[in-house]
Amino acid sequence: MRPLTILSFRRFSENVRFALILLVLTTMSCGRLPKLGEPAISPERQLYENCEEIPYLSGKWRFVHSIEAVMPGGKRGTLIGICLISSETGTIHSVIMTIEGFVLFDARYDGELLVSRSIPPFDTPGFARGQMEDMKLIFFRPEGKPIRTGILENGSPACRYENSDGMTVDVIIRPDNSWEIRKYGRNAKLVRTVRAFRGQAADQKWVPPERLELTAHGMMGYSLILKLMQAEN
Amino acid sequence: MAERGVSGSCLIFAVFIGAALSLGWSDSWDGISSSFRDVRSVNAEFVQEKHMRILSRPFVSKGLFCYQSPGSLRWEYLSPVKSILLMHKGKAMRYTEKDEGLVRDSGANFQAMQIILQEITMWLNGRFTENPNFKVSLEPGRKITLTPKKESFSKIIMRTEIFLSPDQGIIESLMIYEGEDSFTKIGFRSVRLNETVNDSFFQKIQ
Repeated sequence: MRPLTILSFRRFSENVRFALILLVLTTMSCGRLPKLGEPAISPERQLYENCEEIPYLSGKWRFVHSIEAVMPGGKRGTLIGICLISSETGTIHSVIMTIEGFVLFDARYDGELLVSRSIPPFDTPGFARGQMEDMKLIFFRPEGKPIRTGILENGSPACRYENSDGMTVDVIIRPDNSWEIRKYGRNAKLVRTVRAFRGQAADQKWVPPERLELTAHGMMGYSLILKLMQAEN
Repeated sequence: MAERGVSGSCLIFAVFIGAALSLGWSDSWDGISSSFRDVRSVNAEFVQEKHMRILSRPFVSKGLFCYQSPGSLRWEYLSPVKSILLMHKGKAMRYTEKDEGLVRDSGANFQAMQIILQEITMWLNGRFTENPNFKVSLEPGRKITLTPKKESFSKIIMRTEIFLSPDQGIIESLMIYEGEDSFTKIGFRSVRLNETVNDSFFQKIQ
């Protein structure tokens, strides 16, 4: 057995130091590894990574839409919808009438719901509440705080909100700046989808979509196509 | 001098005849009923204005109206939403333009409209006083006012005012009040009476 000389001890200690440095470097490089699977993000999409920068309806708007409705059971009809919406006060005034001008529904929401006119089939207890919830979903910033932001499989950036009722809302911005909203129940089941077409978020300002499609999923599902006829701000 | 007297008498006579003709038809229920009895068909253009507090300006729709006695109706909206409402022999249907073209409506909201349509065809027959649900009054200015007797109905339509034309058998305009600040005005123009209309015009959208 060779005796442990000073030289061999020095070599041994150098090897140990090298091994320690290597260990430290290896450990440090693990914490700094770039995230894998992150798609390249264009400057436009980068903008929407911050959920607060997504433009929503701002101020007071008056809209007149034609509404093509497919109700539960497949019944179809076309109506005229007029609404007055304020993002500042969170108020909604909604009127639904026939093409002939016969008003079937008139209600206001300002924290409380006040129905001043409801004619069958718009006189059911849940209709007014559901209609206001749909309008809030379409036009207002989702309730609650954004909990996550990311890129969907199709490449669209999305912002996820969760409200106090445990409902989740995804706001998805498409590459052409049109948008989609998906609302999920507590069980993560999709309950509403809103798709907006040809409305563009230009210069960080909300522009009324020319066409909106709302689908209520489930047993009593229905769908509405809203085509913009008038918009005043 | 004698010539001047004769021409003066003729003028006075003509004025009396004219006054009698213009006053006649819309001053009594008999005159109104008999004038509408002579109307076999009505073709007209219409302009509909919806007035509501929620609107900053009236919502205007335009179209064509065709009625044939006793109960055929074609109410065609050309703008802003293309729609055709047909009624013939008690059967009514509505078609509305969608992405795929004119599609027949089947919504329950159309049932409410059918009741109103039947009422309109009664008026066009001159039968203003036959509906027991309305109190009817004939007022100066060729105006007929229909007020619902039942409170439940007056919550839906407060009153309807029908303005008759100086020309016999023609409705000039309708005012349908749902509330004091919500009403619909329908004005008829280019009215043509008693043209022959094929029944299929009230059955098919063509």
